Amino acid sequence: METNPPILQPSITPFRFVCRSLWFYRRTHLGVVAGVALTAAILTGALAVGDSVRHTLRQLARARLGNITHALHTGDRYFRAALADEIGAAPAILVRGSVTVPDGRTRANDVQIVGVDDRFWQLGATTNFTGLVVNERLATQLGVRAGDTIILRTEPPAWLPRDAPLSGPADETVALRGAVQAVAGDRDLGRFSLQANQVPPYTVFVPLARLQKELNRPGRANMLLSGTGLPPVLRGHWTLADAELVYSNGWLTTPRVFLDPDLQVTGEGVLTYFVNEIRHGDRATPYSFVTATGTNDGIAINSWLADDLGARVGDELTLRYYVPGDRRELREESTTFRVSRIIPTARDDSWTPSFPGLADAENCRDWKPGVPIALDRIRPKDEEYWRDYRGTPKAFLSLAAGQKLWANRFGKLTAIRVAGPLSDLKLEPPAFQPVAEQAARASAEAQDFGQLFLGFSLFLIVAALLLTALLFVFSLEQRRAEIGLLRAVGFAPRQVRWWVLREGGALAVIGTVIGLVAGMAYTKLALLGLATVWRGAVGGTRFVYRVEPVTWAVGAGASLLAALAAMWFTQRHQTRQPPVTLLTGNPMIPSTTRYSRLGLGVGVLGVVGAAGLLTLRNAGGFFGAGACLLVAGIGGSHWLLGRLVNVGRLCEPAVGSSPSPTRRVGLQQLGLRNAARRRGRSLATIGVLASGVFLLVAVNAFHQEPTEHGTGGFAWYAETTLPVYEALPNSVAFRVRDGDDASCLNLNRAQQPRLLGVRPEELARRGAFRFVGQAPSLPASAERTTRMVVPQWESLSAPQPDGAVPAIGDEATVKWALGKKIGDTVEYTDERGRSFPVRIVGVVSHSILQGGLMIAERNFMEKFPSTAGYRVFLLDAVPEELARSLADKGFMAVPAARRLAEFAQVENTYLAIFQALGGLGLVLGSVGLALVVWRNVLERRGELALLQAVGFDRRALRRLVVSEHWLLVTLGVGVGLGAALVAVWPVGGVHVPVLTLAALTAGGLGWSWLAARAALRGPLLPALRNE
Amino acid sequence: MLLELTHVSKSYAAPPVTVLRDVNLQLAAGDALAIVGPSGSGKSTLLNIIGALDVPTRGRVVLDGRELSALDESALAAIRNRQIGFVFQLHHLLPQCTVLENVLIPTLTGFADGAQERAVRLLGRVGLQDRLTHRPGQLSGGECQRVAVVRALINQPKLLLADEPTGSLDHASAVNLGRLLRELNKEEGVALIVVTHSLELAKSLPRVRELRDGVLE
Repeated sequence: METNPPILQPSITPFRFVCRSLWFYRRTHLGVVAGVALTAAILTGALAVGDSVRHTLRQLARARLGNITHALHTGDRYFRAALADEIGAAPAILVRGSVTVPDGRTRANDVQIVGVDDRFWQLGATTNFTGLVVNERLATQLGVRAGDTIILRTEPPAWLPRDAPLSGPADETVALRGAVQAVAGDRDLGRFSLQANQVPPYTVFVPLARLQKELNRPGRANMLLSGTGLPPVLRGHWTLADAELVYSNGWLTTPRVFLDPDLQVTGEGVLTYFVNEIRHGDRATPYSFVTATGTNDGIAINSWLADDLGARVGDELTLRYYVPGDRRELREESTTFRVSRIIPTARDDSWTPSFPGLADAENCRDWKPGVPIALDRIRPKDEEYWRDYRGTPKAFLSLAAGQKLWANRFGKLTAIRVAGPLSDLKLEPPAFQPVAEQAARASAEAQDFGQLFLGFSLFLIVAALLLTALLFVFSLEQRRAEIGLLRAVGFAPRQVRWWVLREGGALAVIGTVIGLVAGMAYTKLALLGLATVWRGAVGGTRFVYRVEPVTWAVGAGASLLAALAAMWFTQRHQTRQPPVTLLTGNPMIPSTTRYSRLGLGVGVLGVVGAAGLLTLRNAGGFFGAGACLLVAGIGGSHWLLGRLVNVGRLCEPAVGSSPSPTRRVGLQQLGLRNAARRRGRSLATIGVLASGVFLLVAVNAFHQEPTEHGTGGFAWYAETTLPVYEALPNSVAFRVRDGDDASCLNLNRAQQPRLLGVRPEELARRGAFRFVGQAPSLPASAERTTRMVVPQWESLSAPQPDGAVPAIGDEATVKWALGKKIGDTVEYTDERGRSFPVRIVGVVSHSILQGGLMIAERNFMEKFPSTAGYRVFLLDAVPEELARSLADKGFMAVPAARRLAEFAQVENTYLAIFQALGGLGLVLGSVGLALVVWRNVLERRGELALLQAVGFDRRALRRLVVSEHWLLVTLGVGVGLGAALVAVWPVGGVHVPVLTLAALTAGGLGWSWLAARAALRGPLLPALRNE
Repeated sequence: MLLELTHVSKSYAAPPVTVLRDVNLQLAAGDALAIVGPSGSGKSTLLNIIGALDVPTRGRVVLDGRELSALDESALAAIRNRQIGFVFQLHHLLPQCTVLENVLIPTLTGFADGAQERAVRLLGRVGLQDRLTHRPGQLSGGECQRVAVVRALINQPKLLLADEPTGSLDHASAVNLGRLLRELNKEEGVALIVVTHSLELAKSLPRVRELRDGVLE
């Protein structure tokens, strides 16, 4: 009977075949998919850490500046606050100080005190505050909240820098007391700062008017903030008053006493000075003003002085006066002049500037000029002169003579007599800084945590890829007969490879998609780690999770490519085998000779390479030698496995003799032979274990500990909030120009690091710190034509051919924070708004000087003459009375070793992350070992069944399996450890993670035992039927 | 002459062993030949060489006027796909594909004209018309081997090689399969070489030659 033809399914297509295979072998494929997913998760997750960090830094930068795009800060120079109205900006005052609670229990130093009005809050805050406001960080430090009272202390601005002569009293502070109105959070400009740092400074906001009053600068400001997006133009608005100049009755003067040296105006220069004594023989007039102007020779004296001294034209007079040394040191000098003429005495104060402590004094005994005054020398006639003539000079010199005696870093004129209108006076206003653009750049150029975590995770990725490749190979081996069949029915090797890769590609795509989702978890875990156990690396910043679309694409693409490459590489061996071999299931016996020679060759080359690198006798050479030995060890293992194929071979007995018992094949020899059978798997396992151990031990050697050279030999590192003008005992002092924190604690890329001015000879004398690089400097002598290397700290004083200021920095600052090297420059702006380059001429290694650049004090004072006193100190000791006496200056000292440890903690935390992730990679490697064991046993169930049939029990079989694999673990750990020890030899005192290695070894053997136990479960003898 | 082997030898180097010695063989189109011999005599090796799955150490193999040793791997694969059909002792059916799909596997290389209809007809011819959508796991050993025979014939080869095709079957299935091979040899006009231990199967073919110690007698 004819039957109806069946309903046919569509004929098979390549796509359908791949789908069928994928579904049918789904259990096997799960492992491959998991391996790819792990790779994709780690890769994408690591890159996403970078996205999250960048996003967080951008957010913090926005919170720091709100809507502010441009800022102008003139330091201790104050301009009219009304200027802000003219250009549409917000005026403010920015000074530094300290804050305490009334009972002194808590204190915060290095606080930025910001005087603001409502225009400031409109630049980004949600609330318009009117009273005292602290930011969250300060509130936490002090333990205060709204309603609590705080006391602010700061130094009032001085017209003359306080370490200048005649600058008045040095140690003046003002205190403000008030109740906290509110605590400003991030949304209320609580993070406000002009420096890019993810950690906000301690900040207290004070009503502008109140701060102006307390600082005795009514109607003045030293900061302008603009949010218009374009730099405000000051030209046309900048007046004499803003430049702190006064023009009256033809006289151009300044309340700052000395006129800026670059002031250009036509007129007669005047320099008036306060002299201690004018002497003629045995008669002397104390404490007088002398003016230098014009070109007359000798000295002209007024009649009052002539009478007081009994001097006539032609007589010699001696002037005694103080000249400023460093650190408020005063040196009394004298010069003799011949009287050229006697002029009438008439009151004319206009010659004399308003010296602080002098101008407002009612009588001489109220003088407080900042130089020693012997009040008993003041006679009644001197008081009368002061009453009648005030600051009228008693004598006149030529301007040239006076400047020779009294010109200093603050200026060489105290006035200019302008002949006519001031039309030719060019006032150059200071320039606004594009702070929003700088902030964006600082966060964009910040340490790339994506690349960092990718590097940390590299071994983990490699281990995951290796696992993927292993599982893929296992799945192919399971389908050898299928591959053999395809070859037998006419598929060319290339066609078979494409089938395999199509299937593998589908697995890679599925795994990648899963991995992208899992990558979110990896990123969040990493961010959690950075916020908790690894917080030392990032200064406690909490990052917000963020992934950019391009990261998804790059992560997906890279992991897909990597997985496909691993699959392509591993399938070649399977698809290249002859069809008959694949169909019959007889594994190819690899050529022992060829591959053993390859392994031996690699081993020998590695040893030769290591020997060569060791002759370099530096850290790089030793590390390279270790890496070469690692490769040599793996190559040697390959050779060894080849030799083991024949270990314990039974000899052919001669007729009539019996075989030597020492050459019988025992279980152990059988195990060693078996280890050599699947050499690819064995070598992969050895390679992963050895590489992991090498990394674990070698990286540990870079763990930073405080060293003598890192502290420079100093016991203490101290900073003050307010400057100290006198030298501290047994210390090296630094002047400070605030800037970006260029230490490893700041994640942002520093644009202008803090500048520290120091006397190079003080550090050179102590041989402080260790240099890692030095640039040659030209000597001062123009006669020399060859370059010579100037030793170390002295190079700060050696002039640069292009006029750049030489600087020395810590290695972490120069290399990582700035991304610079020796010879590179950083642009700075001096006190007068002119830019100048600072060139890095030396780098010190792992020091407490991290965070800024050191320049010679002489250069520092030339560029920032108004910056008085010192704020950073390196000390041998900190006596209690010293600390007490400087408490109001905000003195804070930490042991130098502790400061160094804080910096080292960042690097050590990075190492810890690397080791943690590397350790995970090793765990993955040992999982791979377990899979290899399990697979090896499954493939040989038949031969194990035979052994059981001839009398070996399961325990013996397990011992056999474990003995095969203990060799792999021992070789892996041994090669890795040996190579690592060579790599870190010069470091000495290496912390070998003995427990970790022991756990790893035990874990590897444990995995082997567990896998053997699992694979040998159930009856074995049925496997014999398949032989 | 469809197939001609001239002084074909096969040796292995390590350890040194000669499997085939100076084998000469001729087969015309449509002929049928059984090769018998003890285990280890080289029967499968000879069949693999004839089927372009292995290469001789010495000698020539000419199939349909083309010397196989002169061809590269891609050309040999094309010959295996279109001119030779191979039936193995184990059926090697793909477990993830249906009966019909297994038969059509060789057509995935691109040579597929009329293959589906031919597959259905041949499967009907071997009595599996109702099992087209079944998986190998649902078939008996004999049924699987019959599918393998159809697979070997799907591209209308000129030469059908069978290596111990009944070795894994019970007696009844073996007899049926042997009969099937002979009938297909006549119906499809395909030359047939069978390597077998089964004297019954060997005697059912018009020519029998014995391979002993690598020599084809």
